[in-house]
Amino acid sequence: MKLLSLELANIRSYRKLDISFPSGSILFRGDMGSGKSTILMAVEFALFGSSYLLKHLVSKKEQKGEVVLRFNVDGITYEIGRVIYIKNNRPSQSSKESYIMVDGVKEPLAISDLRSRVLEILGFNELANSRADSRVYRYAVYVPQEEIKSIIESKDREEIIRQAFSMEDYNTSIDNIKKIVKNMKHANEKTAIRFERLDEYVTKVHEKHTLLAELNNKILQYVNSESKLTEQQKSVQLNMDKNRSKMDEIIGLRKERDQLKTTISDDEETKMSYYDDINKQRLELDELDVTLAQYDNIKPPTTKSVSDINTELALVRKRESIRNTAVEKSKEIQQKLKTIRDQLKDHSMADISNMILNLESKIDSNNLQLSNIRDNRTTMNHELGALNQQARTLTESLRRASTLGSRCDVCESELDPARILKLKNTRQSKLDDTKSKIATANTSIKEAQSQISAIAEQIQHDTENLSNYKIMKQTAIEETYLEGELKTVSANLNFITPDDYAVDGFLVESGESAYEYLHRLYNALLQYNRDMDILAEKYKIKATLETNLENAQRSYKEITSKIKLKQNRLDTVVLKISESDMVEEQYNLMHKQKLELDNKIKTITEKKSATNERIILTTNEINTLDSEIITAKGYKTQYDLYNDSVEWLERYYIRSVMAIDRKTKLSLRYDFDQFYRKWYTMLIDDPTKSSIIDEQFGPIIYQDDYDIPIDGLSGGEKTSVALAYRLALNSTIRRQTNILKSNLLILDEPTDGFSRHQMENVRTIFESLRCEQIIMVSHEAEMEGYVDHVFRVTKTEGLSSIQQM
Amino acid sequence: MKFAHFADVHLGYHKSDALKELERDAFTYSIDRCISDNVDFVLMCGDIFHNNIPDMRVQKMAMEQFRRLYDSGIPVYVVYGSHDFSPISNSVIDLFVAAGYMIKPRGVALESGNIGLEFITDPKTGAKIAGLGGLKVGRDRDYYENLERTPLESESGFKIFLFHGGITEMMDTIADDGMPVSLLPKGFAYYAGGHMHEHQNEHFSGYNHVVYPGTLFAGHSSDMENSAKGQRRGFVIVEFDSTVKSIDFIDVPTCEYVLIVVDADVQTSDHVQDEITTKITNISTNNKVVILRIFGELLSGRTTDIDLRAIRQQLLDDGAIDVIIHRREFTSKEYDISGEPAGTMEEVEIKTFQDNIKQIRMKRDHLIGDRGVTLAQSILSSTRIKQPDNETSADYAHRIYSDVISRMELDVK
Repeated sequence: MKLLSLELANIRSYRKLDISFPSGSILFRGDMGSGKSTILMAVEFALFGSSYLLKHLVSKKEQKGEVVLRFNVDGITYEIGRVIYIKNNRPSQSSKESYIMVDGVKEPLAISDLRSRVLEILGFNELANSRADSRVYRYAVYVPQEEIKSIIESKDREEIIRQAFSMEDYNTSIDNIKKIVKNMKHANEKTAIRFERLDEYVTKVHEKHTLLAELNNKILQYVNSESKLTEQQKSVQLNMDKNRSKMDEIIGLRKERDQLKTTISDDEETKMSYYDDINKQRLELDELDVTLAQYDNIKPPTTKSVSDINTELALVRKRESIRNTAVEKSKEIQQKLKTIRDQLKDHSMADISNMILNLESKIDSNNLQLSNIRDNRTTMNHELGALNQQARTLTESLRRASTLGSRCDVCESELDPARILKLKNTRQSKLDDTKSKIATANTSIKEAQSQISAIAEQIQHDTENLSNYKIMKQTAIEETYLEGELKTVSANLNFITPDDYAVDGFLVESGESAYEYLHRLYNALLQYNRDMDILAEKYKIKATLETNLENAQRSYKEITSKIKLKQNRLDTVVLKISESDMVEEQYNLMHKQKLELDNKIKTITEKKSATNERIILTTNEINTLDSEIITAKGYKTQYDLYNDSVEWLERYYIRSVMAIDRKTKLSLRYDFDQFYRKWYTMLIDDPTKSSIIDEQFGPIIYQDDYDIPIDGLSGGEKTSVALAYRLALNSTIRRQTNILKSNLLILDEPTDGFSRHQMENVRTIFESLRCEQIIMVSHEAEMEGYVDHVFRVTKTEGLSSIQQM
Repeated sequence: MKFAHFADVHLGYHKSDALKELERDAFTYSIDRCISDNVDFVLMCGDIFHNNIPDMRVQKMAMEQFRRLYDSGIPVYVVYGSHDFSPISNSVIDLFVAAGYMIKPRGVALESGNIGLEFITDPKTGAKIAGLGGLKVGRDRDYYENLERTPLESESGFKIFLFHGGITEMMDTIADDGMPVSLLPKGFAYYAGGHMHEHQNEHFSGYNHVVYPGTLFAGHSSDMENSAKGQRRGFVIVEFDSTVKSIDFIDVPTCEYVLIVVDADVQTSDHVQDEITTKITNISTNNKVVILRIFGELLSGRTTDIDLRAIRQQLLDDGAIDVIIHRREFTSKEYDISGEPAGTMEEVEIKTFQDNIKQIRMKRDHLIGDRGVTLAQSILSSTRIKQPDNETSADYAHRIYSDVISRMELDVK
């Protein structure tokens, strides 16, 4: 790839630019911010339409920016034009106005297709992705100054380098082939199933043919045997028919014999049951006779009937009752008599009557005296009352006289004391006399009173005695009555005695009473009557047993004679049957022969039929197998073909490509390392430091054999490492592959921080690179001496311009 | 009387902040000791700085420390080393000499074409000091061979010779930057050496006390590996009157180290990764400098399968001061590119197909010989193309399948 020209309109600080790129080394030199880097950005944007550049490209205040880049690859000239519009402060590429022209022929492509086309032209083996840039370009062609370090330390550096060198191709191919092999194997597994039984089929078909021959042979043998056996069968059948009627008779006799045997056996059983019955009846009769014998000695206890005994008993009971009542009465009377006699002591009736008369007269006399005395006392009481009245009057007049003053109360006349005194004395004397009379009267009354009390007491005493004597008189009367009563009762007792009981058979000497005797006799008579009832019942049972026994004995005799008749018939039949044994033996033999022949013929017929079926089956199987074999052989051929191909792919192709991958990687690293070390040694002065490329294309820097981290390098050293790395990468690409069409090298401030000595080395390096075109951007004036062409970039009043020197 | 002897301080060597700090601390500690021990003067025998023009940070730090010596009245006598000298440019040493913080014995080109060296007499002790700086690899030898030795050897008094370079007799291996001790002028009381980073003190006939103090902390990654293996770091204090009375090595505290060694020979990359993971898990690396040395040829897998960047980061995350990796001798058999280049990709393709077709035995003609190679190339051209955007996966798979089947003549019934 060689850049031919670049046209810009309204791009950053350029209003208009049109420059042609010559071959050889070109330097764009200018101060910081003069617009040098815009050239590089514009080239990258023209190629890939990178979106991250899009934002920064159009000049401020402008609505439209244009970039047109012309370049040459393998003798073909390409022109790419891209137009950017700013709408609402947002830039966008115009799909309509963007184009690629190939040798003067315009190819209208969409923005994304345009980029894919450029990747294809440049041989960049990477997929178009949304970021719309090229990582390969960024590695192999142009790296902005500020990104150098990130490339050196980047983790995906190896992958990008693999892309740049199309090394991913090998993995892609291996992956594809592995998938194809897997599919082929899978297909072949299916194919293998289709012929896996081929050998089996061939073996089988052979076996089937052998089998068929054997079967046909067998059929012949069967037909032969069958006809022989059929003849034998016919002859046997003829003989069998002749013996047939004899055999029928024997069969009848046998049936009769069997029946007879059965009925005889049944009759014997019945006979035995009769026998058992007879024995049982006999046993029971014997037992009954023993019981009946026990009743022979029982006699009646009396000649009396039960009603006789009852009559006698009633009489005895009555007499007994009378006697008992008399005894009780006698005892009672005797008791009473005793009490009375105790009360009377030894008083006689006459004594008692005299005493009563005396007492009655005494009481009458006392009552008379009492009445007189009482009359006197009443008179004396009256007299006393009058005296007391007189006394009280006198006392009053005395009191009045004592209280009289000098004047009379009534007449209020003056009173004479002497007269009063005299009056008083008179009256006092009269009172004293009265009082004396009262005292005498009182004494007389008291005496009368005491006489009354004494007489009343005597009367009462006498009255009580009189009453007692009257009661005694009554008791004495009762005694007399009771004594008579007792005499009557005793007379009755003497009348009723046991001797008088007229009971038949009763003996007084026995010690029991007539009543007890009669009672015992009654009970004995009842027991006798009950025994007689039981005895009657037993005789009834005996009669029944005897009837049964007779019946059983009769039946026994009958069945015995029946058995005898049947046995005789059986003996006759058995004899007849034994006489016909020979006939049967012959017949059986013939029958057996016939059955055997029948079976044999049947077996052979069956076998023949089965064999015929097998012949048909086997023939069919042979036909099927023949067709399967043809199909399987076809699959086997296909299988072998695939198998060979799989083997070739696995053992030869994949292994070779893996070896190619490994070898190219080593080869690539070898070249890379060689180039890198060459450039590194030229750029770095310090002999204690050295650097190599590791297996992942990373630079390792040593100082006296120990690692130095990139951070441990000075700015100039870092630039040196970066430049050496970039140059090595570019050189390796150009040397290793002609797929990648970029032999262009763009360097952005490659000597930043370099010493003068190092700058001089840079010139030597450029010469030895033998690159068709190198484009450099630098602020170092010194660089001007080391390149073929110098473009000076200046900026005035915000606008950049370029002047070729 | 006593003096301190330093060499190979390599100020400005370290890049990581943690190591820069350790470097500064070691140097500050040493200057403290010189002042507190009341040394009469200090010798610095080359490679005080790692570069001829170190960073401003390093210059500033050095300026502060040398000024403390100056203020304490302790003169510093120096020679160039191979690192802090540039034949084409200036050296920071000249700046310090010009500032008066350092004194550099002078050499002069004599009319005879030889090189003459002038003595400087230390005013306080009367010690006489002469010396010659170091140059880049192997160039010193010419100077010493052209040295005017007689005036140096005949001078009386307590003489010290400063130099920067390897003495063959004191080296373990034969290196091209060494020179025999006999090239040094004889008869000095003390030969103050620099350049060898391990402390050594040897006697040779005519050369009493040839001494290297070794590096102060580390001027090289291997110094840290050697420290990890137990090498002492520091400087030397020498007591003297008319002769050397005692030489004491002063240990300078720095940091702890962990050395992890992995032999990857005849192993798989997975196995090596596991081994490293196990080792770093089982060793405490917190606040230590970790040195990881991997060597040997992998049987399978790539060396880059071992993610050293991640391992380094993990160790740092776990608190390691820094991680020093040595893997120069770690290679992979499978990915060895030391052989002849195989050619371009197309050449490789056709050659590989041709070579491999001879190995395979097939019945069918189109699968073997030239026809087989042609078929393989044809299949590669067809199957190497990825699925285009405008085709579905199923269509692509079907198309490729049919294409291969057709190319292999399998579609004919």
